[in-house]
Formats: sequence, structure tokens, C-alpha cells
Amino acid sequence: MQFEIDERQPIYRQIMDALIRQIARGHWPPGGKLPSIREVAEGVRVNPNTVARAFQELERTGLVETRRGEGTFVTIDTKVIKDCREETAREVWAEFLVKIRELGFTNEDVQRLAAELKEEGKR
Amino acid sequence: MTIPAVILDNVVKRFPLTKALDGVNLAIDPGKVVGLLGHNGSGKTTMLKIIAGLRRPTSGRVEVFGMAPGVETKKRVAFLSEVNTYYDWMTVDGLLNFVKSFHPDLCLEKAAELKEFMKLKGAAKIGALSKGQQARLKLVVGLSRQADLMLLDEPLAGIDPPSRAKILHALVGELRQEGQTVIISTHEVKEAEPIFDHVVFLREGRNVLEGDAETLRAETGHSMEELFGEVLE
Repeated sequence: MQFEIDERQPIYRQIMDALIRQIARGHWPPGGKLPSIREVAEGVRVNPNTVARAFQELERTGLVETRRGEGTFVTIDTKVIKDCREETAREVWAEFLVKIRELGFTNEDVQRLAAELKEEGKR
Repeated sequence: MTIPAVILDNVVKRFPLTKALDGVNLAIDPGKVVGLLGHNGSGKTTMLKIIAGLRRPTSGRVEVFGMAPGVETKKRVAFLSEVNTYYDWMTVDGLLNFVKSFHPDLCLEKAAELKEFMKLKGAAKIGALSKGQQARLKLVVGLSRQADLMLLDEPLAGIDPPSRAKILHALVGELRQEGQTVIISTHEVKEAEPIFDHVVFLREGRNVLEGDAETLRAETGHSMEELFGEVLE
């Protein structure tokens, strides 16, 4: 896993969000094994303690479980993954709405834009 | 309850003409990587030496793993001075054996691994090493010890910028022993930013800001580098 970290925001949170996105899109399938703390720490170039914290927080969401001596695994409960995916999508949508409203777009404008973009996509 | 690796309780250190530490309060949990951040003359070295048991505070209480600094704590603490104190005529391996004679916890296998990482040859004479190589040698010697608490005073000084980040990451990653507490003093925050769990900003002998790095990021929206500028300029 590699990405640019933003040092103005909690780093463990960014690692956690990146893992959630990867699990949501199936990069790590249900029941699959996540990379080790050490591997993630080396990839992202942060302190392993920070990655351990991200894993702990992730475990609390129920998306993953850590088995002693074996590693961390994605849950086999596909409903949990689906719910998390929906929830993340809603967050992305809410962020999008904030930005688009800053441009003065109303809900009708957004719908019109979506329809136009869909038409363009067909061509 | 775990015993903190370090406790400083209202620690003051006066020198004849200056006050190096002016009432420092601090508690550090074991296993943390701590950044001791401040400009030259802010009291970083004095603080590390007091924790290492090499200096006594004028007043205040110091505890290292629950004990007053002394013979027992020195066995568990490694201090890497910023100043070079090695003999020029020794070879790298000669120095390691020499240090092992009074620090039996020095692990020669770990030293071999570190020499390889730092690209140092065992037969090289210390006097013939470049500044950067001497800085690396210091890290080899310090990190080869199985110390529970590692105190690194400006470990990046003298090391070429491209290698700094790599060495820092190895320091807290593959080269760190499980559960080891590390305190790193530096005034170059940018490279070290992502490796600290806890930061202590020191100005004129006082810790003007201190806390969990992630909590500080969440609360202020600033990086440690930005806070360094804000708090210490």
C-alpha cells in the first residue's frame, strides 16, 4: 500500500480510510489477509505504531479481525462490507454536494448535470 | 497499569550562567517514539543527559522505568551523544568490541546487520571515516545495544539529506527492537514528522507544547513541522 500522507491530519486515520476503500472495492476480498503492520509501515513510510493504531480502529468497525500470530483478515460477513461501502459512498456524496453547492448549484442543477454527463457517456 | 518509561516532574537544571531546564513535566509511555523538538540551546541535550543519568537535575524528580537514574537504569538506557567521542585509532570492529566490554548488552550480530545497512566496513579506521560515516557509526554502536530506552541526540546531524529519511524509518521500523522506547532530539522536523508517536516542543528550557502527534494533528489541523514554526519561532 502506498499513498501520499497529509501531515496535517491524523495519519492513522488516513491509513484506515485507505484500507476501508480497498476493502470496499474488493481489493482485499472477504476472508482475505491484509498486509502486515510492518509491510504497511514500510509502504507508507510511517511508524509501525501508527499502523497498529489504524488496524485497531479498523477492527472496531467489524470490517477486519486479527487472529493472534496469524495476521489481520477481512471479515467474511459480506453485509458488513456492503454496509461500509454504502456508508463510505454517502460520505463521498456529501463531500461532493458541499463542493458543488459552493459553485451555486441547486439539486435540480445537479440532476441536470448528471443527466447530461450520462448522455455524453453514451456517445 | 504500565510504568512510564520516563517521568520528569518539575525538573530544573541550572548552570552557573544559565538555566538549561526550567520546570519540565513529562510522562512517556513505553514503546513510544518521541520527538524532542527545539532549536539549538533549548535544553534538548541537557534533558536527554538527565534521563540517561549523566547529569543530575538541580531540582525536580526524574524516573526511568520507575527508578531514579543510576546503575540499574543505565543498563537499560542507551544514550547517543551528538558529539563524537570515539578514538580515531580504533577500527569499527575494535570499537564495537571495546563498547561490548562495558555494555555487555551490545549484540554483535545486530551490529553486523547494522554495519551492512549503514555501509560501514569493520576493518575501517575511525579516523579515516567521513563525517557522515562517523554519524552512521554512532547509530551502529547505539542501536546494537539491547536497550529498552534509546536516547538519540540529533542523530541526523552530519548525515547526507537523501539518506536521512531512510535511516529514520529503519530506526523506528526494522532496526527497532520490539517494545523499545525511542526519544529522538532534532531541529529538523520535516523528515522525522511521520515517525513520531509523541512530540515535545522545547523552548528556553520549557516544554511549551507536548502531546500525542495524531491528537495534535486532529486538534490543530497542522503538521508537526508547522507547529514547530508556530510554537518556537
